[in-house]
Formats: sequence, C-alpha cells, structure tokens
Amino acid sequence: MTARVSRVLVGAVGALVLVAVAGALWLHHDDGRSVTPSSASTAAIAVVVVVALSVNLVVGAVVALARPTNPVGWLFLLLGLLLVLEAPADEYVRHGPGPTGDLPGAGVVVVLAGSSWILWFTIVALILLLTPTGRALSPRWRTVARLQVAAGATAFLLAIPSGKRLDPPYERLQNPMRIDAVQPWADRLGSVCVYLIALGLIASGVSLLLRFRRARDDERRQLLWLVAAVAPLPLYVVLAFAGSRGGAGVLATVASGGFITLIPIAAGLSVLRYRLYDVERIAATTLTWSLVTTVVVATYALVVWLGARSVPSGPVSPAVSATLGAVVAAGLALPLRRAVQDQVDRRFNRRAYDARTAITTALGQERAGIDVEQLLREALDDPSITVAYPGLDGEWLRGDGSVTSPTRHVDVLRHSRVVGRIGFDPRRNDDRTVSRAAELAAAEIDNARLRAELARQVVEIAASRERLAGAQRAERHRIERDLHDGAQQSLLALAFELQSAGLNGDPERMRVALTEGAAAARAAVRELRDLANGLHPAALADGGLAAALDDMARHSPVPLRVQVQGGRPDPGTEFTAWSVIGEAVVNAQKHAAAHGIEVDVRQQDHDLRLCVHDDGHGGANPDGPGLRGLRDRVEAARGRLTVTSDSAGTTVEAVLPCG
Amino acid sequence: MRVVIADDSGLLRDGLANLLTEAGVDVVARAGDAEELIAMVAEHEPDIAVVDIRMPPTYTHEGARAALELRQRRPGLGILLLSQSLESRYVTDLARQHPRGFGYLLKDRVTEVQVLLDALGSIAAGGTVLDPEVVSHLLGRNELVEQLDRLSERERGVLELMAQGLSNRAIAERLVIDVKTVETHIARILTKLDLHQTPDEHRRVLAVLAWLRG
Repeated sequence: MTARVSRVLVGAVGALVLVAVAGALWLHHDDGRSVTPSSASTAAIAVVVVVALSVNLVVGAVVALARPTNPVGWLFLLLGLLLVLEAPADEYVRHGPGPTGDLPGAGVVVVLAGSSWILWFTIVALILLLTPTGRALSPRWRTVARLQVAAGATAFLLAIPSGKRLDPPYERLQNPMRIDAVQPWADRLGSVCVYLIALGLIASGVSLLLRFRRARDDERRQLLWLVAAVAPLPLYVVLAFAGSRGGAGVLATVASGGFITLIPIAAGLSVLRYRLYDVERIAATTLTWSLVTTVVVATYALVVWLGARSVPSGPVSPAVSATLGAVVAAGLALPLRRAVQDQVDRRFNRRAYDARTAITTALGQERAGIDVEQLLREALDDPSITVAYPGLDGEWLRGDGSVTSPTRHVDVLRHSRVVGRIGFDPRRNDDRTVSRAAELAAAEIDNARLRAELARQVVEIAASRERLAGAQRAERHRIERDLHDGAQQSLLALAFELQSAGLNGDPERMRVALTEGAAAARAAVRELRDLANGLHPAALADGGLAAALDDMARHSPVPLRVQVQGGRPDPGTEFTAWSVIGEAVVNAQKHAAAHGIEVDVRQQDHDLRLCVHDDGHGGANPDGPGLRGLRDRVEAARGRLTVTSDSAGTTVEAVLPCG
Repeated sequence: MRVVIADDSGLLRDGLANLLTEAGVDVVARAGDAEELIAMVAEHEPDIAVVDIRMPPTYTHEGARAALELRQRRPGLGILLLSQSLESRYVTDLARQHPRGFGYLLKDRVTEVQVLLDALGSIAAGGTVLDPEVVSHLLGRNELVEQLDRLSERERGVLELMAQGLSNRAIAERLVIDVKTVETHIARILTKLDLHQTPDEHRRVLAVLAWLRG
C-alpha cells in the first residue's frame, strides 16, 4: 500500500467518524424529549466510550500513516470506527415518538449494535497477536488468529437470528430477525463461540507475553507498556462476561471499555516514547509545524493589531498593516522553523538530533580521511550501515572496491548528483533520519567515492596486469615449442646428415648430403623468418600498418579487405594496433565461419580507430579469455575496446590514443 | 653394440640412426613413442636404448619414464637420454638414483659422433655420462660459489670432468696430464669438499653429484 492510498483511507475513516458524530448530534438535537444522561452509570459509560474511541482513532491514524503495510494501525482505526458508530445507532433507537423509539428498523439496529462488542474483542485479540511486527509470532499463532476471526464472525452472524431477550433498556423489544427454526442450537453455538473468543483473547495476551520474553533491548522496551496493559486481561474478560451475564451492563462496559481503552493508550505510549512504528518523526514534524504556524499567525495578528491601535497619528491603513504583518511573518518563518525543529527534535526526535550532533562534531574535529561508514554507524547506532558509491558500470561499490547491493537504502546527493548509497536497518532508523544524517557528510562521502573508484581501478589494473603476464608466458611457451619443433629440429637433422655423409666418405653420398643440407638450411631459415615475422613483422617496421595488413590479406584463407587512412602513428601504437587486428582476424578466420573480413584503420584527431568486421555467425564472448586478453592489451595502451557479436557477424572496434 | 633409438621426430630419428650406422653401431630398431620403445626393447633385447626425454602425448618426460621402466625389467640395459633443451635438475636426480649405465646428452652434442660413441662406450661399460652443460649448470649454483673458491682452477676442471662421469684415465687424456697427477688432484678435491675417498669411480660420481646437487 502506498503512502498516498493510506492517507486517503485514513481521511475516509475520519470523514466517516465526522458523519457519525454529526448524525448522532442531529438525531439528539431533533429529539423533542431527548434523554439526558441522568444516572452516574450512564455518565461513566459515556466517558469510557468517548475516551476509548478517541484513543483508538488517534493511535490508529498515526500508526496507519507511519506504517501503511502493518495491519495493526488499521485494526485500531476499525475498532475506533465501530465504537463511534455506537453513538448514532443509540440515538437512532432512542429517537421517535415512543419511549424507546419507533423509527423503522430500530430493532435491527439494537440487535446489531448490541452484538458489536463481539467484533471489538476479536479486533483487540488480533491487535495483541500482531503487535508490533504485523505478523503472528509463529504459524501456530497464525492459526489462533484465524480461529479468533472465525469465532468472531460466527458469533456475530448467529446473534442476528438469536431468540434471546434483548439487553436492557430494550428488553421490551422483539428481535425482528429472530428465526425460531434454528433455535435453540444457534444460540448455543453462538455461546460456544463467545467463550472461544474469550479464550482467544486471553491466548492473545499470552502471545504478547511470549513476544516480550523473546524480545531484546529496544523491542522489549517498546512492548513493556503493552504488556503492562495486557497483564490484567483475564480479569477484564471475566468481569466483562460476569457483568454481561449477570445483567450488570455498567460493569461489563467499564471492564471491556477498560481494555479497549488501555491497550491503545499503552500502544500509543510505546509508539511515542520508544519509536514503535517510527512515529517519533511524524510526531516531531507535526509538532514543529503546529508551533511554527501558531507563532507565525500570532506574529501576523500582533503586527496588524499594533498597526491598528498603537500608532498615535491615527490608524494606519489596513492594507499597509496587513502587508507589514505578512512580511514580518514570512521573514520569521524559515529561521523559526529551523530553531523550533532543532528544539523539537532535541526532545521528541532524539535519535535524529543525536545523529546530527555526532556527525557535525566529528566533521568539525577532523575532515580529512574520515571513515564515513564508521561515523554513520556510530551516529545512527546501526552497525549494519554500509556506504556504497556509484561505479562506472552502474554497480555500487564499497570503500574497498567490492560490489554491493543493499536492500533498504537512501541515496545521498551532492550538487544534485548521487554520490553515495547508504544501506541501513529499517528497524533502527527511518529513511528520513538516515538521509538527513548522510547529507551532512555528503562532501566526505563524495571524497570517499573518489577513493573507492580509485581502489576499484587499482584492483582492475592488477587483474589486467596478471592476465597480461599470463598471456606473455603462454606466448613464450608457444615460441619455445615453435622453435623446438621447427628450425631446431631441421638444423639438428642437417647436422646428423652431414656427419653421416662425412663418416661414409663416398663422394656421391657427400654431394647429395650437401645439396640436401643446403635445402634443409634454407628451410630452417625460412621457418625462423616466419617465426620472427609473427613476433614483429618486418613489413610493419618498413611500411607501417598498410604494408603489414596487405601482407596479411595476401596470405589470408578468408577474403580480407583492408583500408588504411592517415599517416603512421608512433611505433608502440602501431604494434598494438597490428597485434589487435591480427588476433581479431585470426579469431574471425578460425571461429566465425566468415566469408569475408573487413579491416578499417583510420586516424581521427589524436586517436587511431581500428575496426575488424566479419560476416560470420557471431557468438563471440566479450568476456572469454581471447577477447579479454585483447581488451587488456588495448587498455594497457590506454585505449578502449568494444565488441559486438550477433547473427550479422562480429565487429571488434578499438580506439587507441596516439600522438 | 646393439642400440634402439626412440624419438618422436622421424627426421631426427633417421638422422641419428644413419649416423650411428655409419659409425659402425648396430641400430636394431627405431621407435616413435614410449609404447613402441618398450615393445622394441622386448623384441630386440639391445644393449643400450637411446631415448628422447620428451615424447608424446604430453611432451614432458614420457621417454625418460619409459626408459626407467625398461631398466627395472632389464637391469643390464644401458640408457642414453637425449633432449633438445637442458633438463639439468631432472636428469641429475635420475643420475643419482640410477648411476650405473646411465647417460644424458644434449642433442646438439651428439652431432659430434666421437662424443656420442664415447658416451655409448662408457654406458655399455656401466659408467655414468652427464652432459657438460648439466655439470656446469650445477657448478654455477650460487650456494656453491664459496666452497668452489677453495679449489684451484685445475682442480675445478678435474671436478667438472669427474661429474661428467669420466674415468681417471679419460680425465688424464682430456687434460693431457699424467694419471698420477689426476689422482693427486682428485684426492685433494675430495678432502677440500669433505667427501669420502673411494676407489670405485661410480660411487665417486654419485658422491660428487650429491654434493653438487646439494
């Protein structure tokens, strides 16, 4: 449920309450022979009911606004609403020409209103079962809650066709909805349900006690008042039932009114004193604005009054004094709000006030190299607080460069840019408190963000360096194998052959050996040249990328089109470009099943832009070891590499800074 | 002398076989991998197996392992290991474990036919042959510098040849000095390095290798 929906709902309940009270007053006033409360007992009942309904409505509204998803607030509101509806119902029944009223349907109203206490008890039981989390203590207690709702609904429904005598002073009236056919078992079943409700109510008290026993620290303090109010619950229940059975209506009303009043009062106290449901902040804000409004309006009135009265040369014009008043009041509003907020927070929103004081003091003492996370943890009394900073790729990084994603968090702005994300425990602080505390330290968080970004880059550079070293090892190993299997072997074989021929001594044999030996030596030289060319082609050194790529195109098994524009970059960039293109082309030849490869090299401003595109089947993995190595090589040259690979082929693009 | 050659490169295998044949050695079989080598040795019962250390499939030490396996079955079989690049540490350990009739040479060394024939002769006689590269590699170890400083230049030369597996007579011939002088040098070397005197040349090689290997 959104805050907006909850505000609308609470407003609707408020409107209903107003309508009910207005209706009751109208009926009362319209009644020629209105019955004024004559006896002390009626007065007592009236007081209890008024206190009960107002406490329930206020506590319900506050809790429902602060925690819309928690059912407890709404249950309090419902209870208050049911209690309020008693008044118009009562007036309706009394209204009319007869001694007990003769308006149509009065009997129905009497029966329904007379049974509404069943609903009160059920709601109170649910409140006790669900406070403060909004969930039952365990699945077993959830069953108790379900049973309670079922028993309440059954008892209320069975009261409708009941054959019992109505409560005084309506004992004279007949229940118009009475159904004799279902009696007497319907009434008996109803009685059973009522006893079940009573038991369930006591059980709910037990649930709260269990919760209290298991709770720690803050939660325990929050629940203390409620537990105190609930402790005599069995007594209330017994008294209420005894009273209602024995016909002592007053006793019943006072006893049951006792706990439908005491429980919300206790809940309200817990809420206001110990941050149950975080109402602390709402209360503080409301108080602040009420005080500010009062002072501003009073100032305005004072200025206008003074303008009208105290000027000796006759009254100043009303327009002038009104304007003057408005200016003074407006000038006062902002500083007044700050001062009042501070004072109110100091008393009512202690946590936010303490947090702000702690942060301001710490920042005043030491600004450089402060550990913001630790500071916020101490200031907000929440060891689970994490400070994360926006990374380059949209992820959130902790101070040590590790990636994190806090579930409950607020973002910190500085110069209207998000510089940090504070993860916190919603049971300890609300968004607003954390947000305002963090804003005080926004500059330090921004500094820490820069440090975190640096740390992440260092981690990335170390990893890249490691991979480059690995690639170099692999490269050396490959060269060693190439030499071992190639030229070295040819030359050894040549040596053996010449030695054999020498030993043999036959001139013909020696001539053949020399001819073959020369050929073998040439082959070995060719192999060595190819190998050297693979390491750094002579064409690259002599003719630049254009020449080296033309050579590459001539030997490529897949048609290769090369386009090179611009002059020659520095040798380092040229070599990086050549090796990146070479590897991308080899990848395309080996893996892409391409029909054609296009290589495009151009110099733009101070960048060398390379593009290798093939028309193969795509599917290249940019994070695979091959492309990763390519990326490392480009990034080591302070460049950027992008790879796109889909069914239209693979494109590797690199931008290398040069000149 | 009957020899089996095992090398995965046909070019080298044939080159070596031709050379040995021309030099009068009886090459009875040629093998391209370790498995083939074992079969050939079983079939032809040669005096010496000349084996490339690196062979398929992993090109690490398959050849050497196969040769040692053959030696366990036939203790009289001489082994000459060859390799293209220096495997100093590995072959020193092998030489210390199996000094009798064991040799190791770099391939470029065996293109000198006389070195090859000398090595085969030593191995056939039950001696140990280590490539000079291996020995100079061992002598170059940092830990030994101080102790080797105690030897004269001539003594160091004699030590090197001892480690290569040369007999007193061979050392005398190589250095063109009297055998008696060689014996004096050796006695002094052994004293300086705290090694036991032993008339047995095999055990002397072993002791020297152990000392060098540390």
